[in-house]
Amino acid sequence: MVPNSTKGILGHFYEPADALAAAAKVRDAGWKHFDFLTPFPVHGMEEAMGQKRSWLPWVTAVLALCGIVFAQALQNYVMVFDWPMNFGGKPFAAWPAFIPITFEAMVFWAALGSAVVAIVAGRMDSVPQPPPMAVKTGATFDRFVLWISATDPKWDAAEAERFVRSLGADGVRLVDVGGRTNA
Amino acid sequence: MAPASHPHPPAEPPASKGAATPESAFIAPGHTFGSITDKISAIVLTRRTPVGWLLGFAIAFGLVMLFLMAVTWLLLKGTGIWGVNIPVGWGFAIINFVWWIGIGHAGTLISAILLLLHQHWRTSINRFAEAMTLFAVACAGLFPILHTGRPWLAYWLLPYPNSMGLWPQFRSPLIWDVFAVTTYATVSALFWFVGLVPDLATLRDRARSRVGRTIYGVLALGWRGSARHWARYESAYLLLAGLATPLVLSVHTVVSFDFAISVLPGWHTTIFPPYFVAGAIYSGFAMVLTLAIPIRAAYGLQDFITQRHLDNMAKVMLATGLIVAYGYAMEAFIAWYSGSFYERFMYWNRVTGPYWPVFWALIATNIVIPQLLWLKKVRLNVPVLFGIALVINTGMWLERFVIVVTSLHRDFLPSSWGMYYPTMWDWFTYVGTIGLFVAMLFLFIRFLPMISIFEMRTLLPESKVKDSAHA
Amino acid sequence: MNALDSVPELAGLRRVALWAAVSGVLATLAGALFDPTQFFRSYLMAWVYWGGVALGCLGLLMVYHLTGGGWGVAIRRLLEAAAGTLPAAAVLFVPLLFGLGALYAWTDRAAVLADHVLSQKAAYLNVPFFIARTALYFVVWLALAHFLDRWSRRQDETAEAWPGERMKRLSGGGLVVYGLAMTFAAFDWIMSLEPHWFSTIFGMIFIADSALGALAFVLVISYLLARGGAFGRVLAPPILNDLGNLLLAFVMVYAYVSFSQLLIIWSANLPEEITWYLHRVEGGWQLLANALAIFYFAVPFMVLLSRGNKRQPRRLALIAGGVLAARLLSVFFLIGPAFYRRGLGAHWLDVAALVGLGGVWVALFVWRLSSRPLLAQGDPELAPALARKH
Repeated sequence: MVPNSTKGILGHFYEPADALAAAAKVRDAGWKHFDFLTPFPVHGMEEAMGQKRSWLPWVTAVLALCGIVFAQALQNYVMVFDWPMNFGGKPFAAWPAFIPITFEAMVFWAALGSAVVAIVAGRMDSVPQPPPMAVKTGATFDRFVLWISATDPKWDAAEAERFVRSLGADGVRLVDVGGRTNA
Repeated sequence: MAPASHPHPPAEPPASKGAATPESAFIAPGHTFGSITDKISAIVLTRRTPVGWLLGFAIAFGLVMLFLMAVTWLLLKGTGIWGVNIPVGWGFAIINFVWWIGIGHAGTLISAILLLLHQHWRTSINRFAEAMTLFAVACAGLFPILHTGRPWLAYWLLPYPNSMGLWPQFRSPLIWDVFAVTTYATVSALFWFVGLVPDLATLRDRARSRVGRTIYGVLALGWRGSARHWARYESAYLLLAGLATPLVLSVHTVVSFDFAISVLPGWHTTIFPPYFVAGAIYSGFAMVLTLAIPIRAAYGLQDFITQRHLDNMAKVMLATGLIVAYGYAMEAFIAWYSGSFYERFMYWNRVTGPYWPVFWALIATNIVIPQLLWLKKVRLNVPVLFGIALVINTGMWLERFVIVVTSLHRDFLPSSWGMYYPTMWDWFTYVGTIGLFVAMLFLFIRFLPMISIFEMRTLLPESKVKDSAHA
Repeated sequence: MNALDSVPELAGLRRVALWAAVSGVLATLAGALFDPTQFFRSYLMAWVYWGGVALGCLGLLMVYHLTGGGWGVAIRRLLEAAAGTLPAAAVLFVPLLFGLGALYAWTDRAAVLADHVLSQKAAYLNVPFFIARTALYFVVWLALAHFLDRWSRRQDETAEAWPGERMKRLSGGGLVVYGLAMTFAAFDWIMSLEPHWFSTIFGMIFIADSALGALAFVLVISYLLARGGAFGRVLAPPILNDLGNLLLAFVMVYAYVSFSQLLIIWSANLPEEITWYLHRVEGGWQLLANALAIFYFAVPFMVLLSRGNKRQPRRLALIAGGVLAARLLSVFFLIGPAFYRRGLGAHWLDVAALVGLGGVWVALFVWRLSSRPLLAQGDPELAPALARKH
């Protein structure tokens, strides 16, 4: 599940350049549980927020290898050991004929697996997000929204509000929907 | 809590229409992040369903009914109602299968290969091109399954331990096809859906009706645009593109193996894989243009699908069409150069045999007429371009007819020669799948954003923060 | 500014090339006196190897003029220099015309008349027509190279857009005739070594092989030049990444067309086709076939998947150098088995001709390269490439 926070602060920006500058300041000020909600991938945001490069390509590589092994094992087992049959005088272990399916299986495993892993990872290792239905941020429209969650170790509502305003954010708003935070 | 109120008034879409758009631009000037979002999502959320949509969908739906009728009769009577016979055991079913699969290729090509090549003009056409891929693959997949005669046993094609103790024959290209098409359908759907997720979140947040909010909300998988998610999203999207690129080439390659692995003159030739792939892209781009030109006119999307898009697509068609022509030339030359009696006879029979009108129509539609695309004036003339796209769609269908039928109907043994004539039911099935394709496309443009909203936002100059900040 | 003075590596390369040329040519000439037949065989392989690089560069240059892009502006001068060697390469092809009898079985009239299949092809496979066709191919290539060179020089002198426009327009139609000339050159020079055999994809295999060799060569040279100055700035990591991906794509295309041919011919197993592969998987040749699959596809494919390898100039140059070396295997695989029927073998003249012709060709290349600035100042793609963040 996406860890949802019930308490935190929101501030809007209208230009991606302003958002990028703000993200670097938030990172430098030492906040940990913050995020930017943006209407499109803002390039440079990962560095500005201090994120590492994604490890997803390694997952894809391993899954591709699994696909290759699976297809080779299946075809050789079926055509050589389980039920060898003579078609057109070809050898049972006819490696050229096994290449197309090996390739397709590789792509199948790698693509499907990577997408699933990416979705699951998005749910696992995220910072606590603003409560979903309670807050319509406009970040899916045209707004660049800074969110600092109350779960941050240095959280202090008044201090956070002062800080976010100092960044030049518009529509600064403390959010507290009550209930328990599941983060 | 109230829905987001805008501190700025909602952005006015610019008054400019296609005419005011400079020829070189990929998006008309004057747009903002908000106006793009409004303009595209309004087609789904707020605009009334146009009468033209209802009419078009009704016609397409009628054709779907025709298709269902043809299939019902097929299931009652068997494949004997089709024109297939001995020696021409592969008739319309395979012709249409290859035709549809080929059309699908442009979608993946636009979305994956052009992404890897940093071709930003793909942005406004990739979404519906991908949708087109899915629907084309769905239509394609129906044909071989129906052609088996007992479609309810189609799962026998999959490798699973069964009570008969039998496995598929993995050295057969027809089984490779099962794997290729299945993988292709799955990965295309995945790629399409992953691309849709951020836009589904936009629709969820902009939908007025509760039903809309719920459905789009479930499909959006909780997307809210977190920068941390975007980073991984882009990584995943690029990886999928990297995988989809060789995949799309492999699919038509495997389709070409269906023919080339045999020993039949006209089928068994080594140029088939690259030449089939080029032909697939050729027909796919023709279909994208066939769809894009009316849609952009009907929905006033000239701001987003500009002259330059049409020009670029025309150029891709010209290039791939030339590769196809190269393939024909190689076939003809090597048929002679081989010194083989059967190869030479096959080609001569194609050109002058009973199916000569089809062959020459193919040369006219696929090779001769598209050479007009060398002229910029033609590429920028939208009605003419639309006409050429239709001509190429026809030409690529004729190409498959020529390959399938002329090679089969007169092979090595004159005593087993024969003729192939499609029946009414062949035509009903074929036209029916066109209806199915169009009907699915109509539903798509009514209920999902046909242009990627979030990617269109990145086309605006103010989104390019990294370059401007560090240049 | 003379590139030879500003880039010591280029002067060094020229020194090496000239030494190779002198020693290789002397050795080749000596060998030619003792064994003319072997000389022609070795010389054909050497020409296909180095001439293929030059021809591949011409093709890449036209692709760049047609599509543009940051990858091309960085290597444009290298491509132009290699295309500029084509007149000399044409002259260097002439010796082969005196050895057609030693190379091609179809030049033997009696044998052709006795063979049903070959007599069917006699209208195409005969000496006068062969020479006329070869001349035509060179006319096409030289004309393309000439006009591209002329307009490129005009582009340097003028700020106007017309030279660029013309190069673009020429490249569109030019690639069509270029592709046809390459295809039929492959049929004539290489495929007809085994005159019974035919394959419709063979032209594409030759084109893919040449393009791959050309790109690998250009990447190696550009690394030598990129030690400093503006040229190194253009070869920034994003551009290198694109070039590395292009190399990866070419590696895959070559493997794709080669494997397609193999699978189709292997599956049908027709006597007139399969013999070509039988010559290449028996008598030790299977070692070469396996080495080709490993070093011309598997290894470069794997290492080029890594982003880090593509963005580091040194590593990318190493990989490209490996591909360039492995292209020796691919040329030898295409041609060698037609000559060495008793089994895997080579002659010392193979090496001598390769070194000698390579020395001559690289020296010519350096001479052409140093005649102009390393960066195409008139190219509109240059400014954005230079401004790009590292």
